[in-house]
Amino acid sequence: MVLQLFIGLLAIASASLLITQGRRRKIWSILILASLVMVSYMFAENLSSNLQDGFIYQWLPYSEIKSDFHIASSLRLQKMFLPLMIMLMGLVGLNIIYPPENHSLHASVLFILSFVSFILQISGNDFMQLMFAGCMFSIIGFYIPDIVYSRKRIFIFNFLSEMAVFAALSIVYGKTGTTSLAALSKFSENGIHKDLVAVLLMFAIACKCGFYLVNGQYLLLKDTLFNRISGIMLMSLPLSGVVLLIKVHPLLSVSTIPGTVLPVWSVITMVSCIFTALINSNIQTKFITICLSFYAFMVYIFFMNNADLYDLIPYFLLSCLIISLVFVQIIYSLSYNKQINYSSVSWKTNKIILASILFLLFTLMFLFNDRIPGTESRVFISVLFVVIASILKMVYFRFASNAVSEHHVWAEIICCIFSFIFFVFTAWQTRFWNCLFNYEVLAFFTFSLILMPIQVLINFGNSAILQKDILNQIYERAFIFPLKTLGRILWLAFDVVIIERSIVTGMSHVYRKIVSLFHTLQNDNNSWFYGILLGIIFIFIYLGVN
Amino acid sequence: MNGYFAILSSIICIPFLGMLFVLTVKSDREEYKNNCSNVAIFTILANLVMIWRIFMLIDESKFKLQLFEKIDWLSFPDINLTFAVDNLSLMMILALHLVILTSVIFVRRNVSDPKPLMIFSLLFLSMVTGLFVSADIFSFFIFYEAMLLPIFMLMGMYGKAKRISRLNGFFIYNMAGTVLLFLAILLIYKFYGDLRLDKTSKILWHKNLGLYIWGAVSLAFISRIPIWPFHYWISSVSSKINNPLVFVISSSLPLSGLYGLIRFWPSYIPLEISQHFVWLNLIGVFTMLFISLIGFIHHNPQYKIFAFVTVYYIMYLLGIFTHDKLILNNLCYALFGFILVFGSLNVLLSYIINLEQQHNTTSVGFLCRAKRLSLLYSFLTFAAVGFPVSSMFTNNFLILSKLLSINIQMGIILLFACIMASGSLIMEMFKLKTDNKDCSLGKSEDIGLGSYIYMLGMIFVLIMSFIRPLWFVINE
Repeated sequence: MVLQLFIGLLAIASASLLITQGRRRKIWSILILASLVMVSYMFAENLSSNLQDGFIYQWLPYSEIKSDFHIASSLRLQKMFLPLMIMLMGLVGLNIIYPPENHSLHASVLFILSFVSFILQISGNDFMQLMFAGCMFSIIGFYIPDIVYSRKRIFIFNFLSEMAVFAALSIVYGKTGTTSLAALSKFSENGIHKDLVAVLLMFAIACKCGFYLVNGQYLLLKDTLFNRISGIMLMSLPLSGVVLLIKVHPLLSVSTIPGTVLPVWSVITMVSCIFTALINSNIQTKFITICLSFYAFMVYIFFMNNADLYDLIPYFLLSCLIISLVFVQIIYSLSYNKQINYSSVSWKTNKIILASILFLLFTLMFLFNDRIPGTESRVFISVLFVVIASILKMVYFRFASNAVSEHHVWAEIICCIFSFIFFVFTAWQTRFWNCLFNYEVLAFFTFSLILMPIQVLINFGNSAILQKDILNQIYERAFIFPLKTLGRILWLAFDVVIIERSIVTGMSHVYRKIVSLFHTLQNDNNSWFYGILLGIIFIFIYLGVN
Repeated sequence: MNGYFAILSSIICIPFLGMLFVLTVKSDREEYKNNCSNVAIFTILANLVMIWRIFMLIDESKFKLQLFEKIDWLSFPDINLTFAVDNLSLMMILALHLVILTSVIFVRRNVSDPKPLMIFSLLFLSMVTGLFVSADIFSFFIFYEAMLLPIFMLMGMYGKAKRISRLNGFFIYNMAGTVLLFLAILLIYKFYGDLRLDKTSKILWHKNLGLYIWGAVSLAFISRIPIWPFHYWISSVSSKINNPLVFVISSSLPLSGLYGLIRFWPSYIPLEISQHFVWLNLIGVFTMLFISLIGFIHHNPQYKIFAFVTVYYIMYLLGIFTHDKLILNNLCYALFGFILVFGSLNVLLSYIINLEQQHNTTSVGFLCRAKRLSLLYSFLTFAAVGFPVSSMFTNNFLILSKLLSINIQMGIILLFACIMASGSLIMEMFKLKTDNKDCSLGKSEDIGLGSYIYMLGMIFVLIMSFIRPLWFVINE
C-alpha cells in the first residue's frame, strides 16, 4: 500500500519533470491533481482493509554498518498519510488557482517530492535513511522559494542542521556500533558525550522548526509567492524538524538540557510569533509566524504532555492549510501585485466563502483540541482565534476603501460575529462558569483585553524588534571576521614567511650557489684542473688511511 | 605470464598507444586540431570498456588482490613485474578515467594547441593505471615515479606566473620522496626479496631497520599529500592552474600517496610507535583547519576547490591511520565519488571562468540565466558539501564516527574544517546565482545539449554509486 503510494508519487513527479513549462501548464497541473486523487483513492481503499505491509531493501549489508531502506509498515503511520495526501492535493490545487504562479508544474512537483521525503523520513528505522530523507527535504526546500537570497538562507540554515545531525549520529554510531534507531536506548545507558549529542540534535530541531533567533530562513520568505510559502510551511522543512524530534527523542532524553530548554524556547517562539503576526503588516509574514507558532506548540506539548504527534500532525497542518486558504482569499480578493499594494477591494463575493472557511477552521480546532490533554491547547487555540480575529479586522479596516462606509460596517459585523464565536468556544472549552477563578480563563481575558490597545500602539511603533536576525549579526561579527583575520595571519606567517621565503627559497639559493660554484670552476681551466687534482689527492689519502 | 589474455597489461598499454597515435596526428591546420581530442576520447572510452570487463572477472566481495599477471623482467637480480587488482585499485582507475574523459570533453574546444595536452594526459593515464595495477614493490616504484613526468611537463606548459619556482619546489619535494622510497625498496628487496604488495604488511619492525623502512616509506607517501609542511608546494602547484584537465591531473597526485599508504600499511605497529600517531592526527587536523580557513577567505574560486580537495584528502588520510577494516574496505567508494565530484565541479567552474575571460565580464549572476549549468553546478555542490547524493556520504560518516570516538576535540575540529571548506563552495555557488546586471553572459553561453546530457550521465553515476557502488557489475 505505502510502497504503491510511494512509487505512484515518484512516478507522477518524474513524469511532470519531463513536461516542459508552456501555455498548457494549467491543464497539466489539473492532470497531476487528478492523478493524485486517483492514487489517494486507491490508498484509502486499501487502508480500509486494515492491511499492514511494508517494504525493505537491503542497502548496506555489512555486519558493521547494516542499513536497510524501509517504507512504513505500521497501520498508525499509514493512517497519517491520508490526511496529508488531502493536504498535498490542497497545495497542488492552490498552485493551479493562484494567479501569480507562473511555474505551477514545477511547484507541484516540489511539493510531491517533499511528501515523498516525508514518507521516507517517517518510515526510517535507521540513521542513514533518516539523514538521507532530511537532506532530501533540505534540497527540495532549497528549490521551492523563487528568490535567491531566500534560498541562500534556507540552504545555510539547513546545511548547518544536517551537519549537527550528522555529527550527533556519528558519535552515537561510534559508541553503539549500529545505525538502528531501535538501539538508541543502548546509548542512553552507556553513551559518551551525551550533552553534546543532545545539544546538537536540539539545535538541528530548533533550526528546522523555526524557533526564535533561528527562524531567519522562514521570515525571509515573505517576498516569495504565497503558494510556495504554504508549501514550505506545511509540507517541507519545519515538518522534517518535527519528524526528527519524534525519531530521535530517546537521544534528547539522555541529557537534561533539551528537556529544559526546548519547552521554554518553544514558548518564547510562540509568544514572539504571535506578536509578529499581530503587528507586522505583511500578510505573508503573518501566515509564516502563525505556522511557526503551531510547530513550536507541537514541540511544547510533545515535551510537556507526551502528546502523540503522529495523531496530531495531520490536524495541525490541515488547520494551517485552511488558514492559508483564508489568507489567499484575502489576497486574491484584493488587487494583487508583488508588493502587496492593496489599492481596491471587492468583498462581496468572498463573504460566504470566508465565513464557511472560518467555520471549518473552528470545527477542526475543536476536533484536535480533544486529543491534547491539559489546558495549554485551549489557551493556544483561544490565542490563535484572537490573532486571526485581529488580523482580519486589521485587513478590513486598513485596506478597505475609506470612501465606502459599507465595508467598514461589514468589517465590524464580521469581527463581532467572529469574536462571539471564539467567546462561545472558549467558554465551552474552559467551562468557566464552573470555576470563576480559573486562572487560564483569567489569563486569557486579560491577554485579550490588553492585547487590543497594545496592538494599535505597536502598529505605529517599531516592528523591527521582533524580526531582528541576531544569528546573522553574530555570524558576521563573531565568526566571519575573526576567521578571516586568523586565516590571513596564518597564511602570511607560515606559508609565505616560513615555508616559501625560508625553506623553499633558501634551498633554491643553496642549490644555485653550488651550481654557480661548479660553473666558475669549469669556466676557469686552471681552477678546474687544480680542483680535480685536489679531489684525487683526498681519495688517495682516504684509501691509504683505511 | 598466466594463460589468460593479459587484460591488466592491456589497460596500461591502451592509453600509451593512444598517446602514440596522438603524436602522429597532424595538428598544424585548424580542422585537424580536433583529431587529437577525438583520439584521446576514443582511447579512454576503449579503456573504460576493458575496465568494465575486469570488474566482471573479479570477485568484488573479496577485498584482496586478484587476476595476477607476472612479467619476467630481470634474471639478475631476480625482479619480475606483477600486476593484480582489487576493488580499491579498480575504482581508482575507473574514477580517474571518467574524470579525465570529462575534462577532455570540456577542454578540447578551448585550447589553442591540444596536442601536447592530450599526449601528456594519456601518458599520465597510462602511468597512473600502471600504479594502481602494480602488485609488487618494483613495478609500484616504477609507475609511482613515472607518473611525475607528465605532471611536470603539464605544469611547465600550463602553470601561470612563477612556474619556474613551482617546478623547483615540485622537483625538490619529489626528489626527496623518490630517494627515500628507493632506498626503502632496496632494503626491502635485500631482506625480503621482490615482495608482493599484499605481503608488505608482513615486514617486521626489526629495531632500526624496520623503523627506517617504514619511516622512509611513510614520508615518501605523505610528501605527496597536502599535510603540513608539504601542503605549500602542492597548493602553489595546483591552485594556480586554470586548465581543468591539468588541475585534475595535478590534484590526483595526493591520491597516489594515499594509495601507497593503504598498500604498505603494516599489519602490526609497536606501541612505542603507535602512541605517537596522535601527533600525526593533530597535524592533519590543524592543516585541514588552516587550509579551510584560507579557502574561506580567498576570492579565487579555484583555490576554494583546492581547499575542499585538500581537506578531504587529509580526512581520508586520517581514516587510513585508524586502520579500521570497514573504513579501508569502503574508502575506494568514497574516493570514487570524491574524484568525480571535484573533477566535474572544477570542469564547470573552469568553463565559467573561461567565459568570463573571453567576454571580459563578470560571472556573478551567470547561473541565473544558464539553467542547465545551474542545475549541474548545484547538484555537484550538494554532493561536495556532503549531502547523501554520492558514495562520499557513507564513508565520511564512518570516518567521522571513528575519529570522534578516538578523540572528540579532534573530531569536532575536523568537522568544523569540513564545514568551512563546504561553506566556501556554497558561497561561490550563491555568488554565481545572485542576479547581477553587470554580467553580460546569457542563455546563449549555457553549455551545449551534448555536454549537458553527458554531465547528467555523470550525475546518474554519482547517484547510483550512493545506492549501490558496484551497480554496473554484471556477474557472469
